[in-house]
Amino acid sequence: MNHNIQQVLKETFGYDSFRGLQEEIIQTVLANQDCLAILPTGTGKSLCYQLPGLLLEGLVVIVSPLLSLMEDQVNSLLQMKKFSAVAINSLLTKSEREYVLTHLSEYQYIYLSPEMLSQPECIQALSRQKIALFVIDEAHCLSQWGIDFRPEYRNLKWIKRQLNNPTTLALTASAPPKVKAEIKELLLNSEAKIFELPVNRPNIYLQVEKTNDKEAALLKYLKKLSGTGIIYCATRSQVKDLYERLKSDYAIGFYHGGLSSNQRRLIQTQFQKNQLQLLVATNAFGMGINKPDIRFVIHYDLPDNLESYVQEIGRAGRDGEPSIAILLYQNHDEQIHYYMQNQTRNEREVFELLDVAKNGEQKYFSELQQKWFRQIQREDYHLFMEEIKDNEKVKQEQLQTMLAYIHTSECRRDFIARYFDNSLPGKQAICCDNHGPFDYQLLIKSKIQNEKIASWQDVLLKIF
Amino acid sequence: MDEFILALFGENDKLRMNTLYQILVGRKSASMLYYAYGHQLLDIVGIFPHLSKAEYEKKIQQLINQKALSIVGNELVRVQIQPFLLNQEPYCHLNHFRIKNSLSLWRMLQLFLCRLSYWPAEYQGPVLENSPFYLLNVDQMIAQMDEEQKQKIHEELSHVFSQMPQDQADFLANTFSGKQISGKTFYQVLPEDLHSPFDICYTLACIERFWSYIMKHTELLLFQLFKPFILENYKQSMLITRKLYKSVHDVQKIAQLRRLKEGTINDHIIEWAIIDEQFPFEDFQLLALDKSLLDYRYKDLIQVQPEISFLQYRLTQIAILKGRKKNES
Repeated sequence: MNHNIQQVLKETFGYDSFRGLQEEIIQTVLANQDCLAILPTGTGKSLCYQLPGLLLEGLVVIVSPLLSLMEDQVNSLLQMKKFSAVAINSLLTKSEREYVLTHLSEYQYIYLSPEMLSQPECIQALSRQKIALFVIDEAHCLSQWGIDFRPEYRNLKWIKRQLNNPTTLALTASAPPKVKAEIKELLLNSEAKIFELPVNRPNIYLQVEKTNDKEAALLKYLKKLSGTGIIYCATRSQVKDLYERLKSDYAIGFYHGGLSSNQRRLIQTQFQKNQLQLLVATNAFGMGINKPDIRFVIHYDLPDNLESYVQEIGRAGRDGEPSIAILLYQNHDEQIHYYMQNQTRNEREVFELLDVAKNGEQKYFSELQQKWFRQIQREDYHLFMEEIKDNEKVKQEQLQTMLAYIHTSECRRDFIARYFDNSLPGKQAICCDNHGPFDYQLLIKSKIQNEKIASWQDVLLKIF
Repeated sequence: MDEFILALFGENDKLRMNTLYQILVGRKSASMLYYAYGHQLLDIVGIFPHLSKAEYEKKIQQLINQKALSIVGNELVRVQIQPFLLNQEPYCHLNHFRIKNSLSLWRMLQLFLCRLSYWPAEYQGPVLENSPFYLLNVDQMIAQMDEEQKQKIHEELSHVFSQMPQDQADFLANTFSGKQISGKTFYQVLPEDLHSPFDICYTLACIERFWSYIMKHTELLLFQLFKPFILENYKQSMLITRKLYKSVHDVQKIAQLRRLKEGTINDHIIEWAIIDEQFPFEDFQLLALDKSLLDYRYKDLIQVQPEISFLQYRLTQIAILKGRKKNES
């Protein structure tokens, strides 16, 4: 088997050797043992299920949290032209979905959201197939979105049983101890193995800038930075506003979940080919992106937890070259998250006041309340509500951790390592703003010019 | 959206608030279609399928606050005048009622051209689409290609683009990807300062201008290739009624045969009359083509002449409007 996996790695994926813990994880999966793999961005998580998928008999079912991530993963498999993969999601028409569900055996890799996988017709169709491997990608979402916004994540345990308890691989880039325990309890059997690499990325410098004028601070940084980078914003409208502000000076694109899938793909292709210097995006961008030379990640808005932040900055410097993560913080940036948390709490309080366990579904339920109502048809109402309340507290704590990260005067690497229960990384050449300034000369120089619109005559000549 | 709504009034001083919403989201009924036709808004039926009622009402309220509109009964009355959108370039080329799937057709064309750019060599380009609908259908198109056809497609595209103003053709062509070019998103190539929803209207207008031309030139290879998907716009219950009418000539009988209500069949006939220039008005006992009928409500009319059917009344109104349009052109 050992010889075999090396051969597949070389012949199918074109790599000479495994990275990090890939080989151990693949061996575990091939030995039909459940496992949780916590590997930082850029260490090749996808290979851990793509390669076994070629050696095991049956389908690989991958549960994925975001449409854009599913698309990225499917596209990268299709791009290699050696795999048949499909994402079953809301972008497919009803007839396309029916087609895929009745032709499941023609695919090797099936990507679904937890919501789609919870639908009876999907479970039925999949339960008729042999499932070689059940993969939960970005498994930290189970905890992050699980109980309140996406209760369907909690159904995965039950679905796993419906699919005849296939070997399960949970993948994530970062999971603090509590999330790790939750993933293990909800998804994996008791003998599951855990593989973990520390989240520290030695080539990424960590900078926090407290400012009274984020736009001015952003412009100041952009003048100093070179290479390609991502600017993350919290909302689609902020993304568009920044794009409008910067488009005359930079080769820039924007990306968010409101764009159609082919528009997102075009932007991604341009970014991948270094035709764009900047990409302004919501967090819909990046989970599946495999661009090694992103030199900087700027957060224009405050993320609501350190897990997401570490994931997002991990997209910089996959090639190991010096890179920088900059978080711009303006007083009261956290208000938007308090507001969102209050909204959820209000919805929960109304839900409880309505005593739905006794009175049943109400016409004026919000979308979220409808989800909760569906979920309490499956599990105990009181336990479920208690967990939602607990989760509200967790979210408040997570936001406080994020704020503590901003205001800390200790080494930011140590802060992150401690949060994820990793050993402290020790002194590093490229560290954080609490350990001296960043040398911008380290960034690889490149200048990407704004491309002009070509005439249709020229475009057709280039196509034909 | 504010200016956009004002730009829909054209020659009309008033528009029904609820019906205008139904037109924008494309909630189809025979009375909405008649209204859209009578108010020159048929080409934008269904242009914003995701517009929520709350958002629409908010925009209307803003316009009222700005004193650009007022509401009388259930009608919006314009106070401020904007040039009619559908008289301007490129919006006059919107044809959304007849080519509802224009964006989907465009995506298929984008994928097809990207694949064709590499053909006959192995495809090395980006994965622009991943759903079976696009992949399987474009696979089939590519499978029937030969050198001569590839050349023909190049010539046909050049021909269609040369029939358009340079800026509109450039806008569309820059979204194509190929061997030596990465396609742009619409927002990267839109004219400057074109804000929502004019950006969507501009995009659809250019795309629908392109497909309208292709649909008028059925001899083109591009039409032959995309015909099954273009025809999807017409695969409707109304077409079945139309086909049956041509052999049965009796609304009641068609309703029985199709096990549908007579009112539904009437709706189909009205839709047919609106969209088809060859509609056989002579088959129906129309009333006198008196323009004053346009202002009569059916329930008032039957107080005086109870023998008149709703279908007669509505078809006569459509015939009057069609006659008026002919005279104008």
